Amino acid sequence: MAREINSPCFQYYLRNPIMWIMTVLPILACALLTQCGEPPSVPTQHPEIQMETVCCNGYEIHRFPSGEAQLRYALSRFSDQLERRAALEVVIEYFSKVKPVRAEAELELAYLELGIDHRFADRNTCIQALNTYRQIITRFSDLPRICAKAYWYMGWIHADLLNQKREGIAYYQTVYRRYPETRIKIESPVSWVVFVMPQIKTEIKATAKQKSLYWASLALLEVIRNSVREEERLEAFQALWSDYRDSLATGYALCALLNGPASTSCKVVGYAKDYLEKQKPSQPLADEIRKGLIDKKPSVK
Amino acid sequence: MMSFPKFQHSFQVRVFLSLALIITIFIPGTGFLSYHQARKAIETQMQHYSINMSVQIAEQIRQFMSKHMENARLTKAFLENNIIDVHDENDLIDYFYILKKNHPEFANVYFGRLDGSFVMVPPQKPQTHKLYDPRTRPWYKGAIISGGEHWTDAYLFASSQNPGITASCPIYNVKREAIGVCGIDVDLSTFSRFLQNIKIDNQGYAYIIENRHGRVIAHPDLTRQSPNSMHIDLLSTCLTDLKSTGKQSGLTVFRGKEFFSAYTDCHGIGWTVGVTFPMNELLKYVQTMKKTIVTSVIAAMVLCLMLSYLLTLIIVTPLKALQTGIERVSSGNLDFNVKPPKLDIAESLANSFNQMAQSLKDSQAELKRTYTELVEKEKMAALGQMTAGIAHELKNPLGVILGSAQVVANANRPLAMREEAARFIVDETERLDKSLTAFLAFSKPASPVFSPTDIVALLEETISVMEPQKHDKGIDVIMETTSEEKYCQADGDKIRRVFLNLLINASQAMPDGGKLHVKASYQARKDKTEMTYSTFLHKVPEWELAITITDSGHGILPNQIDKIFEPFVSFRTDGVGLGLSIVYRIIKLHQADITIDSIPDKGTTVFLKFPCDDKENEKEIQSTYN
Repeated sequence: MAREINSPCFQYYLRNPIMWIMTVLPILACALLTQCGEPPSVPTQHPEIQMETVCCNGYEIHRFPSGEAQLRYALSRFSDQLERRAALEVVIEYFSKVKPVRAEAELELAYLELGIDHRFADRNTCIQALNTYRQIITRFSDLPRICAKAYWYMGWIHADLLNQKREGIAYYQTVYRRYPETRIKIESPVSWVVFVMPQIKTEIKATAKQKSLYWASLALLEVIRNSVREEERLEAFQALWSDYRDSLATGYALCALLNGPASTSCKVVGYAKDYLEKQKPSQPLADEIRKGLIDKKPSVK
Repeated sequence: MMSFPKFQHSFQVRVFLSLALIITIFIPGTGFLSYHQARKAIETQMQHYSINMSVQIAEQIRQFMSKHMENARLTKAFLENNIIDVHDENDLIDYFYILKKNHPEFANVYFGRLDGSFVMVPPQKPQTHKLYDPRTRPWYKGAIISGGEHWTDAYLFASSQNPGITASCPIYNVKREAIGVCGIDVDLSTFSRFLQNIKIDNQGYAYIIENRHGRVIAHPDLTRQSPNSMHIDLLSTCLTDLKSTGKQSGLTVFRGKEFFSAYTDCHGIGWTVGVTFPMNELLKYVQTMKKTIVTSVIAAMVLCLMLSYLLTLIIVTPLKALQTGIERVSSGNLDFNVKPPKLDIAESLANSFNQMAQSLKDSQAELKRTYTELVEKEKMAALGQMTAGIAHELKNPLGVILGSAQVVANANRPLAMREEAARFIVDETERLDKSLTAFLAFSKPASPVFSPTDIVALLEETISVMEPQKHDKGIDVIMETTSEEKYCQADGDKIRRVFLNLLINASQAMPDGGKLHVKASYQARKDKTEMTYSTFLHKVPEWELAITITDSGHGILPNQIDKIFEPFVSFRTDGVGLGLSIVYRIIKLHQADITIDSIPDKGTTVFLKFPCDDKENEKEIQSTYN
């Protein structure tokens, strides 16, 4: 070791500071570049995880930039009733000025007032929900889609949950009279990507294979189903037939009428045959209609 | 093209360049191999990682979905065995709520009857329920057609319009007639959220594709309100590659970037789980390593080049010291010592050199001493030879003189004898005088006095003086001289003596007569070395005077020619042996040259060459001297 220290090479190094600098510099540069060559990577998380969240009723709810997105998120994501309610309240709180969004959220909240399962809703709950729907109609009277839905739900609560058929029918008739052209919104709140192989064509939309459905057609169907008055039922059917002939509701209305009292059913045989021939309903519906047509003679068309 | 002869022949530069060449080949080569191996290892690891990841995801999905089917199977058992009354809606709802409570991941649990009635937990929206016919739904039709457990393709749930799949089982009565179908829904967004929570590096993601229809069952983007079109396009490109290559994994180039994808089949479901991540994300570490390697290589190269330079210095410095030592020793400085560096070989080399110099120094001293001794011996030998010659030359006349003197001193001798003896004494005394004059001329030659001299004229004059003698001896003199006028710096008296000696020798070599051919001519000097004396202003005379004196005498034997200029060497009985020695000495004093060529019985030729110059320079020389 001593010999190495005394070697001319080592002595040369000791005597020359430039050699020291030239030796140390590359090592330092190497170390610095190694450390600074790449900045520490920040994990790129998915945008939704990085999104802002707000706390509502103890639930962390993501915030979206638009009211539509916030509403779709609230409608599609939560199965838990309380969490869903919190998400809808966030929509109302943050997008109160986006009227259609707010109205949609309030309609959903009104439905949630019926509890986890509307089949177990008591009278008070139903009345409370009815009041809420009434308020919605008052506040959003300029939004036909909201009002139509609210009226229809009021008719449904009366007719199905409170067993107040007449009140229910009145609301259904209101829907038909006031909002004959308001469609029921049937669209997926979430994206759905389909790659059509083998050519691979991309479709980014969820579409329901359902015919156009109107709140009025559904209301007329419910009138037919709930009314005991033949004239009223036939009148509703006439309206259905004349305005919403290709609607699924018309098919179900025919079933209801054909399976009802004979005096009424005989009057719709011709309609039923025409419906079967022209509308080509699903097999079960067609079977139901055909079953109702057995031994019935047409009286009116 | 530029050339650097100084560097081309520099040992130090060559050693340094050789080391530099090795360094610049091996260090970057090693760096490149390291990088290449590391990248390959990372790519392999990446491939294993992605395939394992997709396999694990597929396994988790399978387990997740098996729960749904198991509970559908359980529900079927309960309904078929009347543990739950299939006709009691409240009973069904209670059971479904219990099931949902135990399995919150079940989106919907329901039972559709053959008559079209439908019970579901959670309940359908009323507007949906009013028009809902379970018999038209894929889960119902699939279960009835298959007659057993059935997984639907992805479809939109009627209640929420969310995409999903359903595990369904047909319910039979005791007569094995189908009375309805029970089903449990799986919301596909559950898979998307599940995949979203899987961290695949930083920018990688997993997805599930339905093989039959090409629907994206799950993708982290599907949980967002608006999918990133770039991700969807990337997915489309990856799937195209998957279909075209049929491989389980591979690279896909999308918008100029490389993506690695691995695919695994979910057996029994007809789905494919894919994992895709950008290569640059993973190669980021390789890139960092590449930078580190490049930096290390550069640092190592700089360091090695410096060390190489040092090494060359270490090698060359002692050699340079030795070179200096050799130069100094060569120039005569034998006292110079190389300072030995503290390196084994260089130190021993320097020590050896110093020993050699010391030995050389000793040898030189010994040589000088020997030379001095030799010179002394030579001197002594010459002195002895000269003494012997002088003694020889003196002894005979002295003997004659002694004998003659005794005769003269003897009064009894006849007068004529005594007169003859007296004459002998006179003759021998003259002879002694002559010999002693010759000795004196040889031992103490007078310093020549140089002056511009026409040697040819001097030669002609000398020959003319001797003309009568030669005529008496029957010698024909043939003169062949030149009319050119050049001058030679010479001492005329001494040169005359040279010619006289040579002509006498030639004459004596032809006792019975013969031919004496004398030729003189000027010629340009071939050997233009500088003259060591200052007789010429121009240190390099342009011309020389060539004189040949050829006789047709008896010649000289070859073994005698080498000794012909030595003093006291005479091949005649009456000669002292100093004539040609004196000639040789005079010629050398004039920076001239003399050679003798002889053929026995044919004759001898003496060649003389005197340096001389043009006549024009004579005046200049003259003025310089004056």
